[in-house]
Amino acid sequence: MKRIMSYKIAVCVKQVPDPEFFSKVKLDPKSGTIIRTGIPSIVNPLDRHALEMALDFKDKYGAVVTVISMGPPQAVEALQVALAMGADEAYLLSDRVFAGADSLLTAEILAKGIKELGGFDLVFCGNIAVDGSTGQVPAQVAEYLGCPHITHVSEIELKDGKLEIKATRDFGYTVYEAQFPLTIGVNKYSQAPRNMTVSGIMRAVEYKMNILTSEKVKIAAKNALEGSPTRVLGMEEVKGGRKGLILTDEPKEAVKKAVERLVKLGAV
Amino acid sequence: MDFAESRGVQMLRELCREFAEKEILPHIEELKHGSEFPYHVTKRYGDLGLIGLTVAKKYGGNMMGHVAAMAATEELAYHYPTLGTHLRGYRLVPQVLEHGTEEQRQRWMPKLMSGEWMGSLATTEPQGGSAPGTCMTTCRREGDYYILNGRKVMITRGGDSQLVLISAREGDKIHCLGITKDLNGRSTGRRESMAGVSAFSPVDEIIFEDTKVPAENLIGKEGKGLGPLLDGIGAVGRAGGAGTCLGIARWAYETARKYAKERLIGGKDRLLDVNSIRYMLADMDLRVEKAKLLCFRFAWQLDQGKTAREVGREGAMAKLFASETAVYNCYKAIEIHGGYGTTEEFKIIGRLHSALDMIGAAGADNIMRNTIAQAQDRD
Amino acid sequence: MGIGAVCVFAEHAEGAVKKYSLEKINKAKELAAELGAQTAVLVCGSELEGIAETLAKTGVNKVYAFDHPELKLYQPQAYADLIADWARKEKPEIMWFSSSNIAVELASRVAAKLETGLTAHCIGLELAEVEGKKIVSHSLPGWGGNFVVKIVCPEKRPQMATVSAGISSPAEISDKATAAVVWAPVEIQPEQLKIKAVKNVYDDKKSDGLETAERIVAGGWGMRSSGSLEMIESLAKLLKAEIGGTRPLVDCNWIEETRMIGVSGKTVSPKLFISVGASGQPHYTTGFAKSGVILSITDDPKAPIFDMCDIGIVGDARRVLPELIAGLETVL
Repeated sequence: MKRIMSYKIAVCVKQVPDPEFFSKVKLDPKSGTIIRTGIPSIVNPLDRHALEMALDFKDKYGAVVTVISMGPPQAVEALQVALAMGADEAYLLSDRVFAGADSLLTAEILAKGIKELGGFDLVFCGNIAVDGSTGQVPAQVAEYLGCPHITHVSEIELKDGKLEIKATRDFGYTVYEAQFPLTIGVNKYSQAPRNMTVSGIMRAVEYKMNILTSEKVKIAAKNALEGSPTRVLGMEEVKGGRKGLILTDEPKEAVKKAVERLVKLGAV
Repeated sequence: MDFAESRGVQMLRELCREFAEKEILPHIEELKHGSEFPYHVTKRYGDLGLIGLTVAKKYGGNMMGHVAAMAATEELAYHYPTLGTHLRGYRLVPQVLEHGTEEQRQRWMPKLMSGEWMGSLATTEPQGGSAPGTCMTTCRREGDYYILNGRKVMITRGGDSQLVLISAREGDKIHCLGITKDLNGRSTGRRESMAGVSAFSPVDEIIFEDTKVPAENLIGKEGKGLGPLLDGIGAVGRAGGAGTCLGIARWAYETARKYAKERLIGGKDRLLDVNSIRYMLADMDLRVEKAKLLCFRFAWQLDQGKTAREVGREGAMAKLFASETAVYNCYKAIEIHGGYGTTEEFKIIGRLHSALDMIGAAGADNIMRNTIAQAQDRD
Repeated sequence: MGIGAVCVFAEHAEGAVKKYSLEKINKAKELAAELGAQTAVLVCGSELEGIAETLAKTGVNKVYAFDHPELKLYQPQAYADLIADWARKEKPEIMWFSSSNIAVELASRVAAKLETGLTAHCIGLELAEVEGKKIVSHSLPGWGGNFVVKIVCPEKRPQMATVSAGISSPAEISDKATAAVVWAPVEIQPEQLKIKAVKNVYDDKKSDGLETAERIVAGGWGMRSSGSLEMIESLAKLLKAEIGGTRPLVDCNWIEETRMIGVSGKTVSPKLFISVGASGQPHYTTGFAKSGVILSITDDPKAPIFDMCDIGIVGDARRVLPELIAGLETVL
């Protein structure tokens, strides 16, 4: 199939704490953001699906794939993984001014960064981040970009210059037809995200990372924390709950006691 | 001296971890008990670029380097020992082929790099042990062919590899020849069923009965066959073996530590807080660090361009110590796990088996001691 | 309408209002009473007479129906434009949406259009006094322990939220309609259909089963070391239970997304819930906190899940599950 066009695709990726270490994560009571020091980070799993969708689109129809991340300097690591998987370019939006952004501010910053880079035909985002994020960013980025959106997308195909999209619903899925440009929130893509390769890794570590600060990406507010419409009022410990029978015996003994109790509680 | 691991190597470890966890471990039982060799696994090594870690770019590799390869081998072996063995084996033949002709490399390298083909090295013989110099497989030149007679034993994946590099003797000359699978007169004999480090990496006997090998399969010069083979064995072979042992040793330590952390005695005290356990773990940790330093120092020297011969002593130290550490740490891990140490579900016995397999492999431990002693003699 | 109403965007399917929408309507009435405010329900679709009538009987003050053939299927641009335009005109104080795929997306876009705050996946809604004003305090599952985080939107309006199922009991449908139904004028321009829904495809294999199941066995990230979900499947088969799990298992393709339990997945309340190999992060536990009896098996003695279960076994699932299966066989 002759590739006449080369589409410009942006993929937003986020660096999140590794779910394996979730139990060690603490919340900062003032900003409501997560304290991540000392906890290994990974690329948000759904962002990898988003990137795979973009790279698959590139393989099929021809595209240049740019990954963008908003985060602290450490987020460069996530961008490097994306480059090693096959992304062409990478940009980090990083500035102290961006800290403490809620989803609306995050969307504003990402959208302004995207505009600064000249806009794209397609913007992919992972639908939701594992660190308990809101799932709101894709639709809100689209609003700031002034382009249509669709989320929970599991498949995308190009047919006669138009996009054919499957969006997951609780009854199955809805088929959409769309034009460019479009912002897409990606659910689990039908194809597993590809691995990094050794040559990808070598390219990623040589790549001169592009950093965009608030100089190029100006937000309306003084800083993101103050500009965010929502804020944390406080944290409250959940009291009561259930006082359970916790068994630390050897499996055979523990199970014996557990089954006894299950029968007593009428659960079996 | 900068001992920090580069970002590239960190990412490479991540690549290996994902490959092992997502593609191999979920299918481990099928792979172990499959009736056919899983060639698709070799292909994946090729796809990911692992085979090309220590192969020059002009030959289709990526030359990320020996330090990178050491980390990859360790990481793969950590997740499953045989994965380290595979990486070592796939990288071995390309290294020997650097002594070959351009024509041979054009013929064989692309397939080896992509993982479409597997390579093996066959020097070990029933009477001669692994020392290539005592080779008793004979060959004689007849026109455009060499005719081979003899047996090679304990050849990792010898039966399934598409290209086997062997040593063969013509009078007092030793040649290195490339044997492809299709040659008449070559057959696979006894297959050792080994679990451990040879899981889905069977160890075979190869029998030559008047096998006709095309003369253009001669690697290096006539009578100069040992050099190329020893070069491969002493560099990629040795480093691969050391890295595999290092991975096993680290696994044993981390597994024991995790167990001790979670195991409660009497429902409240952690096993980890018992002094004797703490000291054992400290010891195991220290040994892994020592092995690491020896292994990566050797790899670094290879990256500086040293030949296998030049750093024979350092390579021997790395392999010997890593091998001993693997066995020791597995043994201590069993001790720390108490009664569960030898049960199948905790997997330590399997790792110990792999560690024991490695004693005689990639440079048998006692031969390594000999190498170190010989280096001392040179003073 | 007047300034300051508490509004709910209601969802419907096959001629019936969704249960979780009725729950939010009930909650809206409760908060509105405290605030002395009006309540309103918004609904979009086509041929909405039946739905509008039902909603008019839930005890709210007004029902706004956006009825148009093009709205039969969810259209991302058109729906968002209609709701946002309505909000700019009617200036509600509070707007709530559900946590369904459509609602989260719609609420997000509307919030961005109105440049206001949207709080996601709330598990609790109450009023709090902040700087002399009574505003909504949204409760979200907290991090790293048994915390609930309270989020507020002090200045921007409306205060928007997407709300998890189970926030309240469903509003009762009385015999007579007490609300006025306003049939809002709907005009849809071609540029509002640059992305256009073509058709819905219904999947029979989808499990609605989880939400009505009596027993559920769910696996967490800790199951990775087992290599497969085989043991969980055996236990579920024995108990005639449905299978669920956490997001990492979805990402590994071990379970379908529809079996994910937690704030961004399903909320369940079976008679028996068994969690295996999960530490109990609030995003997960909130999804089954209202179950009858909760049994948890995981190897970390400090796991938060042990603070919210009825029976906990500290141990390696690989060793405990076979024993549990054997033990249950004798009593079932």
